[in-house]
Amino acid sequence: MDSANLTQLLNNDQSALTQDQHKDIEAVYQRLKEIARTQRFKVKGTGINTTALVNEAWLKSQKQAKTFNDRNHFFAYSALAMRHILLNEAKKNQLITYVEETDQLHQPVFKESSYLLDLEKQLQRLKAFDEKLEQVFTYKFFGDMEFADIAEVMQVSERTVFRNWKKARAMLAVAMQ
Amino acid sequence: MTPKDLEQLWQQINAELDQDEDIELDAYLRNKGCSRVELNALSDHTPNLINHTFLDADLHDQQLHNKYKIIQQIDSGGQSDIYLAARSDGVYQQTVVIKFISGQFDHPSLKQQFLQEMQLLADLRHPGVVTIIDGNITAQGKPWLVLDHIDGLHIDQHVKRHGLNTEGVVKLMMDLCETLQFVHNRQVFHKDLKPGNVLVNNINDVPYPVLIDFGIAMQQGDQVAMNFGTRGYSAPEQIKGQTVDQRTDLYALGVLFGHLLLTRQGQATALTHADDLRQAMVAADVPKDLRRVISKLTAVDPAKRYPSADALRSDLSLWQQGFPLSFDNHKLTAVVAKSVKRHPWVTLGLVMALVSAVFFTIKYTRDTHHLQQLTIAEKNATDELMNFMLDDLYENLERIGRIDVLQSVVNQSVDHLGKQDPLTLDQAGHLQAAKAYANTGRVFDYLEQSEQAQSMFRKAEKHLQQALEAGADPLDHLPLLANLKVYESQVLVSAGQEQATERVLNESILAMQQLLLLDPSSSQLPLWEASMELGYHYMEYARDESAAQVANTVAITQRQLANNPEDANWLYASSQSLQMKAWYELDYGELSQGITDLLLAIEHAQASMALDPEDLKKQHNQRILYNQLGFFYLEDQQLEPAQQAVLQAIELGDALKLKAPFNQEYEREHAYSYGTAGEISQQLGDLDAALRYYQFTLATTQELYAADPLNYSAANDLAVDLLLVADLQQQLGQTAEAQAQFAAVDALLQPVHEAEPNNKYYAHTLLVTKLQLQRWAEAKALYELAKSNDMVDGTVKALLAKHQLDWP
Repeated sequence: MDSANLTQLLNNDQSALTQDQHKDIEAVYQRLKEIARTQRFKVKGTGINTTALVNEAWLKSQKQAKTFNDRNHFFAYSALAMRHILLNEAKKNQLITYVEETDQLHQPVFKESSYLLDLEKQLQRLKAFDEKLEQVFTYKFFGDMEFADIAEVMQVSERTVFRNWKKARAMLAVAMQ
Repeated sequence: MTPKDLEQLWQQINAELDQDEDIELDAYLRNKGCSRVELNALSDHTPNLINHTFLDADLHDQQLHNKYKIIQQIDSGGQSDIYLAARSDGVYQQTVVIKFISGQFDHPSLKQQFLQEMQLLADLRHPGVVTIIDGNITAQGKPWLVLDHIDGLHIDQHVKRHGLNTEGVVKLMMDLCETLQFVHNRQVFHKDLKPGNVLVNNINDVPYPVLIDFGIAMQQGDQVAMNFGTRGYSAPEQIKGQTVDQRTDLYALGVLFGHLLLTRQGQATALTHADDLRQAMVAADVPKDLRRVISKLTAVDPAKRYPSADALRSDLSLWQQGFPLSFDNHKLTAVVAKSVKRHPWVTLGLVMALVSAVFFTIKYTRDTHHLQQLTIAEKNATDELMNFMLDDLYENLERIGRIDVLQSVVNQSVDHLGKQDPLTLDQAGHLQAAKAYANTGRVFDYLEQSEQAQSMFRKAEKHLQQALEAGADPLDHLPLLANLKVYESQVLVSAGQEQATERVLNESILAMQQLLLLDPSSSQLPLWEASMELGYHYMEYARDESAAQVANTVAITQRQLANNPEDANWLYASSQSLQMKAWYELDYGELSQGITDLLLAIEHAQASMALDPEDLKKQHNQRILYNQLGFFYLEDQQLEPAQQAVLQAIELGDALKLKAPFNQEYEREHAYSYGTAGEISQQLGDLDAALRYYQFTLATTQELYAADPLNYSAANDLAVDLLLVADLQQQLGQTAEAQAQFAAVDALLQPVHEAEPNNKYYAHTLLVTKLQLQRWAEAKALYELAKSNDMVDGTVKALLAKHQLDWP
C-alpha cells in the first residue's frame, strides 16, 4: 500500500471499512499476534506493550517486503488497526458476558471491554464534532505516535496536533464522566 | 448529560483551549468538575484486554499441548488419527483419547459447523455415550476432539471372552436400546453402529455398552461428505445416500444383534448381507422370536422396521419374561403357546391346558392394562415437564429475547404429543395436552411458522373441548380458552383473516367474562390482551366499532392502574393501550393528540422498565414507542424531533441487539427504525444517507419474508421497503432499476390484495405501486378504496400531483 492510498484510507470514514480493509486489518492482527507471542518470552510478566508490538512489526516489514514506504504512515495505519482490533475483541467479550457466566479471572477483561466500547461511542461523537480531533486522538492514544510524526501524516503543524490532542482528551474526559 | 449539553460543553472547551493552549489540563478539568484521570495511553486503561486480545485468543491451540501428553497412536485411518494420551497439566490423572479428524476446516462456516456438532455431542451426557472432554480447531484448521478413554473390549470380544448366553446378549442389547433412544430423542444419529464402535465398560463388574465414534456428518463446502457407514451394517437407504433417521441406526443394530448371537456360538463370520445373517442364524439355532426381531430390524423398507429403539427394547423385555412380542399381539395361538411355555406345568394336563390358556390370556390382558396405567402416569408427568418448559421458560426467555432456543423443545414436544393416544387421557390429561399444544403453537408463531402454529392451536382446541366433555372445572378451562383464542388471533395472517380474527377474539373475551363472573379475582391480563387485539383488528379494517373498542381497552388498563399504580405489567399494558389510542388518533387525523398520547405511553413504558429492568420485552416496547413517535413527528412534518426519536430508537435497538442478537422480532423493529430514519433523511434532502438506511431495512425485511412467505404482513413490509428504495433510485436517476423494482412489488402484492381486498394497508401499498407503474385504471379503483378508508396520505397525493392527475 503506498502512502497516497493510505492517507486516503486514514482520512476516510473509518466506520464504513470495505471488505478488503477488514481483511487487511485481520492480517495486521495475525501479524501482531505472532509478534506478541515471541514478545511474551522476552518481556516476562509485564504484559504486552502495544508500542513495542508495532515497532517490531515495522522492523519486520522493513526486512521483508517493503509494502509501506513511509514509517509514519505505517504507524498511523497500525493505530487505526489497533483501535479496530481491540474494539472487535471488546465487542466479542461484551457478547460473552451476556451468554455465560465468567469466572473472576476474566472480570478485568470484561470491564476494560465495556470501557473501550464506551470510549468508542464517545469517539464517534467526537468525530461528528470535529474529525481532526478524533484522528489525532486515535494516532496518539492507540498508536502512541510522536506529535511530530502525527503532524507529518496529517500535514498540519506540530503545535496544532498538540492542541488538538489536549482538546480531544478534555472533551472525552468530560464525556466519559 | 444530554447530547445537547455535551455539545455545548465541547464548544466551550474548544473555544477555551483555542484561547489558551498552554492551559494545564488536570487543573482545567478539575474546574470542570471532572475527577477522572485523563486519557494518556491505551495500555494504562486496558492492559488486560490487550493481553487477552494478543495472547489468550490463541491459547486454545496450545491448550492441547499444554494439557495432554500423547502416549501412543491407537489408530490411523482415512477419517482420523487417534491417540491415547494422558492429561499432563497436573490437575488430575486421566487417560483420554485424542482424535484428529482429517480434512481442513479453515473456512469460518465449516469451523462453526464442526463446533456445533461437537456441542451437540457434548450435550449428550449419558453413561452409554462416550464423553467429549474437549475439542477445537487448531490454527492450521485441523479439528481435534478429546474423548473419555473407555478401557473395555469391543462388544463382540466381550461376548466371546465372557461366554455370554443368549440372555446375556439380549441384556446388552437392551442397554444399547436405552442409549440409542436417548441419542435419537435429541435428533442425533450414530450412522456407523458396528462391534468396533461399541465398547463394553466394565465398572465394578457391571458391564455397560458405550457408543463411541459418532459419525460426525462433515460437510465439505456445499457437498455433503456422505458417511456410508460400514459394509454389512449400513441400511440400504444409507448406502443409497438418502435421508437417514433413527431407523437407519436400528438396521445396523439388528445386524449387530445377529452378529453377537452368532459370535456367542462361535460362528461369526464376515457377513456382507442381512440375508446371509438370516440363514446363518437358522443354522445356528438362534431362538425363532429373536430371529423375527432381527428380521424386523433389518427390513429393507424403513417403515417395516421398529419405529424406535424403545419399541425394540419393549419387545426384548417381553421376550426376557416370556411374554408374546409386539407382532403377535393379536394371535391367540401365539399368546396361548407362550403362556404354556412360560408355565410348563400347564402342559401336564390336557384339560388344564385350555383352562390355563384362558387364565393366562386374561392375566396377560391385565398385565397390559397395568402397563397402560403406568404409561399414562408417566405421560402426564412428561406433559407437565413439557408445559413447564414451554410456559415458564417461554416467559423467562421472552424476557431475554431468546424464544428461538425453544425450537428444539417444541419439536420434541410435538413429537411427544403426537404419540399419545387420546382415548387414554382423562380431563386433566386433556387440559395438559391443550396447554402443551397452545404453548407449542405460540413458539411456532414466534418463530414465524404460522402454519404449524395454526395446526397446534386447532389441536389444543380439540383437547379443550374433550376436557370439557370429561367434566373439567370451568375455572381451569376458561383461562386456557381465553389465552388460546388470543394466540390464535395472532396467527391469522392469511386469507379470510378478517372474520376469523374477530370471531376468535370475541370468543376469548366471552370466556374471560364468564371466568370473571365465576371468580372476580382472576387476572384480567388476557381480557385486556384480547380487547386490544380486537381494537387493532377493527382499526385495520376501518370498522365503525374501532372507537368504542379502543376506549374500552384503555379503560381496562386505567382501572387496573388506578388500583395498582406500581405494577410493572399493568404499566406495560397501559403503554400499549395508549399506543393503540395514538394510532387511532393518527388514523382519524388528530395527530397532535396522538403525539401527546405516545409521549404518555413512553412515560409508562419507562416506568415499567424501571420496575423490571431485566425484562428485554419491556425495553423492546420502549424502542417500538420511540420508533412510532419518530413516525408521528414525521407525519406532522416536525423533522428535528422525528430524527431525535428515531435515533433514540436506533440506540435502544443497538443495545437490544447486543443483548439478544438472534431475535427476529427485535431485528424487524430495528429495521423499521432505519426505515423511518431513511424517510427523514430523504425529506431533509440527504438522499445518500436515506438510501443507506433503506438498504439496511430492505435486507432485513427480505430475510423475514423469505422465512415466512405465507405471512401477508411480512409481504406488505417487504413491499413498502422495496417501494421506498425504488422511489429513491428513481430520484437518483436510476430509472430502469426503479421500474423493475416497482414491477416486482406489483407481482408480490397483487395476490395478497386479491386474497384480502378489505385490508386497507395492503390496498394502500398496492395503490402506490400502481401509481408508480402509471397503470391509471387499476390505480383509480384502489384510489377510491383508499379514499373511503381515509388512507389518501402524503405519498399518494404527491404522486397524483407529479403526474398531474386531478382525481377528486
